[in-house]
Amino acid sequence: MKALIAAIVGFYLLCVTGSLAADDPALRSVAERHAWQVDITAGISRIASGNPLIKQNEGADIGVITQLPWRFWLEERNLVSVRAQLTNYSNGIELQTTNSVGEQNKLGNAAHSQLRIDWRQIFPLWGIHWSAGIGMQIPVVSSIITPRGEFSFSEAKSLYPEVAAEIGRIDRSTGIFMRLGIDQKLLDDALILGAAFEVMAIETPRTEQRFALNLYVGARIW
Amino acid sequence: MVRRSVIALLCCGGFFSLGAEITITSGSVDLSSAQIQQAIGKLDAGLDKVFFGVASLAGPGIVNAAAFSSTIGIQRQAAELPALQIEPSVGILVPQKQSGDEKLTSLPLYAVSLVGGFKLNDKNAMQVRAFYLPEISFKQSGTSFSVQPFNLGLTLTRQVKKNGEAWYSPAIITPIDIAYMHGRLNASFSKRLDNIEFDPDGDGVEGNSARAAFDFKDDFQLTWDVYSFTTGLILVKPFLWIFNARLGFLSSLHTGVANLTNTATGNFLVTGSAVAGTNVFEVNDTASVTFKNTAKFRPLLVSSQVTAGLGIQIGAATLNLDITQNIQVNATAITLQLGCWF
Repeated sequence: MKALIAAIVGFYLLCVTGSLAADDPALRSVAERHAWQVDITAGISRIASGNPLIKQNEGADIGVITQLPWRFWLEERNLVSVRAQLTNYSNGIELQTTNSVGEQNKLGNAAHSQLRIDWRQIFPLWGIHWSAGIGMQIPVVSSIITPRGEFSFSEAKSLYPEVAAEIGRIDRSTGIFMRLGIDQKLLDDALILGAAFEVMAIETPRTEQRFALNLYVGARIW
Repeated sequence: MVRRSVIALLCCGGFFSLGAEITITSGSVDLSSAQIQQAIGKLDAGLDKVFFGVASLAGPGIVNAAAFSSTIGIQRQAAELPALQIEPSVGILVPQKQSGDEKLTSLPLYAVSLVGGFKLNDKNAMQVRAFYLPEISFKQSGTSFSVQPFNLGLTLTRQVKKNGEAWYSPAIITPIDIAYMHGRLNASFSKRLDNIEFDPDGDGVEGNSARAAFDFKDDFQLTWDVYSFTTGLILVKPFLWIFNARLGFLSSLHTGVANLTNTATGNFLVTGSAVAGTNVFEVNDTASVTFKNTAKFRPLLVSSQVTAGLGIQIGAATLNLDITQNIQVNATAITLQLGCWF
């Protein structure tokens, strides 16, 4: 049933997006392409991994994309994006101890948030706004529910050293990432839709959250 | 009678702080001795950890539910911006567990507001929603409760695209919303805890344990203040003259805090002890104990929600039902709005 609803909704959104793209003039004037614009965006992301702990994750982001009025190379537009992002993990980390009714104790509801700032260059081809970018991730906070209460990842690693390596797989981190995808401006630049693949090139501490898919929608506010 | 107070503060990082204060008076134990001070310190730290564990069952859930609740009402939009909108709204948040989740990320909560809106120009409207309830008190199952909720939201609603004639050409609306939600819940009840295990002489030697019973009255206070910024897109398609279908995606940035304060006041009776003497807790020693503890929890920084709704509009009268699933908080909000939209 869920798949059927998702298929119907997905098909409708595909038709809507197609109609928006058809309505959009293929090329904006040079003045519009090289003017300040500000969009606010809402998105989701998902980390790609086969690890049982990591693969069940849900990411959310909210941000601002600013179009710069300058052109540096062959690109049509330059965008700078600032996003607040959260990733949460639904699978728990099993401890060696059991609770009062004999069930395995677990650390659960792990989540970390970060700021992602990136610079994207847009290259139109076949009416699609392909983008390539580079960005930086700055960690903000983390939380995980333990049998002793809610703690940050670093506190949980101290309290439960036997699962420190497991927490390390999903830890918050500082890093540099590459971004490849589409940032499509539509409806006279009133709307922006995007899909991109992000790869963490440099990361400290090293985790297993290197590959992520990001989808977003946004509207121009200025 | 000797009276001593021990204050223990444990800082659990920048975001989760925890403090505890224990006050003990006793006519049967010499509380001034160094050994007893050690024992009280350990008892305090032990109770502090126990309370923080219990508080963590409620704190993250309530602050996440409040954050989600503060955004309820943004989802209801129409293809055209309102010249004037007056719509009372009532909703309930139902949390779910996903497979693998150990604990609920959210608790059940209400979402009530009166929504008013008006058009600023052809492309922008302002919508305001608010709810305030004076403190109400009631008793249930021997526990006294009092609650006091308040919330306020302000949305700048932009029409990005007008509705087209084709079924695949809906109106596109972007809400830009800031919201605040405050709530306070007080609960007062009496309870007896048996078999509290503690170190009777504070020396940390295993085997020198003692047990006690604690008859106490507990005053529990939970307050939450949450601020949210929300935006996204909502597609609205009118059909069959009187119906509106909505489909949307929104993300929110949340900040705020839930504070839990617990004060337990009662009598402590040592029911078993491996040691004896005037400088230790021994069997049948009694003490009056007041234990105060606080804990703070913050909401998930960002959450996203998928929303779907159906509205009926006959003249200016409207009836709307919206179902919103918050992906990170993992709760569903079911909202009903009835009113006028000109």
